[in-house]
Amino acid sequence: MKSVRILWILPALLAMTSLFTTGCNQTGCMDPDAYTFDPKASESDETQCEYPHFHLMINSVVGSQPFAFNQTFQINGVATSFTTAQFYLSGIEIGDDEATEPLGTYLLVKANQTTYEVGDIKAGHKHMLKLAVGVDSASNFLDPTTYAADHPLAPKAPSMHWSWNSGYIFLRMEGNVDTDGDGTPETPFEYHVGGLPQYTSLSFDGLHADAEAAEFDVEVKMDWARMFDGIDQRTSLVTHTMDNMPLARSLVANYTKAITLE
Amino acid sequence: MNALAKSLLVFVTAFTAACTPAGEIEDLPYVWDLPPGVEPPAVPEDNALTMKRIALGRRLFYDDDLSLDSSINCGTCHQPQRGFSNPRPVMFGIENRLGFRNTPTLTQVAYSPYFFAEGGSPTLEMQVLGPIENHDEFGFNAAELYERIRQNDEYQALAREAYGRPMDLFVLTRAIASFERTLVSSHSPFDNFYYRGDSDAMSPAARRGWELFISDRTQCRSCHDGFAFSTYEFANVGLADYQDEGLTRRTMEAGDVGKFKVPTLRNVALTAPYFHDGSVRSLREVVEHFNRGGEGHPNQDPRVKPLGLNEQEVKDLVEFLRSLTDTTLLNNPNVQPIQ
Repeated sequence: MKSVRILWILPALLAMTSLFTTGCNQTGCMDPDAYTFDPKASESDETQCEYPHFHLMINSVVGSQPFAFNQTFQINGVATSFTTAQFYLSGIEIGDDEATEPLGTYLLVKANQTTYEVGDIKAGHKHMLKLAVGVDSASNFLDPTTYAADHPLAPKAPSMHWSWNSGYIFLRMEGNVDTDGDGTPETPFEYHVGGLPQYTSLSFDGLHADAEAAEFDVEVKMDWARMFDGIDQRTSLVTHTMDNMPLARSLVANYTKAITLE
Repeated sequence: MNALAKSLLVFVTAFTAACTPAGEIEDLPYVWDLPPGVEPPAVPEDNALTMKRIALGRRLFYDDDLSLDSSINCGTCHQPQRGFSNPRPVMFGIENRLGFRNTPTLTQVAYSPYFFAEGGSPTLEMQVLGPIENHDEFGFNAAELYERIRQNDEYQALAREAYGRPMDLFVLTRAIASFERTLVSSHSPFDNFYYRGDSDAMSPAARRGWELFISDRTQCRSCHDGFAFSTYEFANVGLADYQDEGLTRRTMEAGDVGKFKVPTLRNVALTAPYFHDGSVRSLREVVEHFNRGGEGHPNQDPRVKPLGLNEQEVKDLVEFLRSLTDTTLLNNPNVQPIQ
């Protein structure tokens, strides 16, 4: 009778051991910052870790209308058209109330382009987005020719860099305005804003989004009409920053009104 | 190495380089030809000077394709026989566009710690794109220039040989900077007199002028000092009026109106007209300006004050300045346009 009992216990112990061993060896992503994080994994397999790809979707508008080059818009009652409208974003951070994750990405935002890849981010709830218009001090004075041609900080056409007073042009807006009142924009305007004092940080704390999948898109609206708030574009036609600092400062002051979360 | 052997080596190197296609130049490190005791200029780590880089830079320096309409090149304004300067009052560009400043010499440019008259460009390499993108000079765009030069098979081959990478703006700016770094004057009569101890190299008048130049009475050397004859500070020389605000363009400080980077005096006898706007026609008029003590601009440097030089002393100072002309550099086949 005793030997029969032993015969029954041995296979049972073997089965239990086998089950235990299998449980310990479950492989998977053990990084909680990955959206593929496996809480049951007992053995790390980093190849299974995937992180959300963060895109900024920047929708350019002029008031209530979609942005278009060479189209006449009424901005503050003045017929205005654009031939160039672009700016740099850097200092991009995203996170929750406690901490934001700096991403070190530089974007050249163009009014006729919507999607910008920022980079991979940690999975989780996102409440806070930080951006800065301009190129930060770490890169503003570096040599543009050291970047590959497709890098945002490489030399561009039209140029986004000054050589005589080295540094990037943070904002470049060009086009025409109607100065003679006939409803047709005929007089060129040229706004070039740069220089580190004009580097402007913006914070948006109303994000409320979860980055829990492969793609994580944040929509931002850029209203180019708001860039003219407080500016009479019929008389304020040109700034290269240092030659018309009041106009440059007015443009900088308008970033917070022009760039908003959607 | 004795002086004769060294001279022969320099001559043979110059002759060989001048007569050999750039692609066939052996890629040796550049050997500075400097007077005893003079340190070579600093060279960036990512742009060590080699013969192939200098040769490529020379081709690019004299290549019209760097301008929008392929009509002018760096040497159009920076002419060797004019001390790498230009006789026009202000620089000019494509379609006869006029700039607003006198063309600076490139002699001794390797020793400058920053570039342009306001010092706004931190490296010689970064300076290169300035004239290319200036509307009144080459009128071009760097990104569009990149598309043009990358189509050039010869440049592609030379870039790979000199820099081990395809032709791009990195190569272009570094090669031109390399060529410009070699534009060092070191064989003027003054160099032979002062650094090499040849007392007959300068005329008696030039020697008297040198004594005046370094005297407390004139204080010329307080701004024009060292091997490059410049302290590279920013100074207002006391012209009557400044349409061009100079350093104020960068700083926005009213006290900087009329301040410009102190230029080198190397080859100064060839770089007329003078001052930032080319408003003074001759060396003698420059000396007379300082002898008068300037015109009394509010920002005038306090060192610019009446000197009380007599006629002979004015002539002597001019003679000294003429002794800074270095025909060895200006006639060097390695710095001439490629035929």
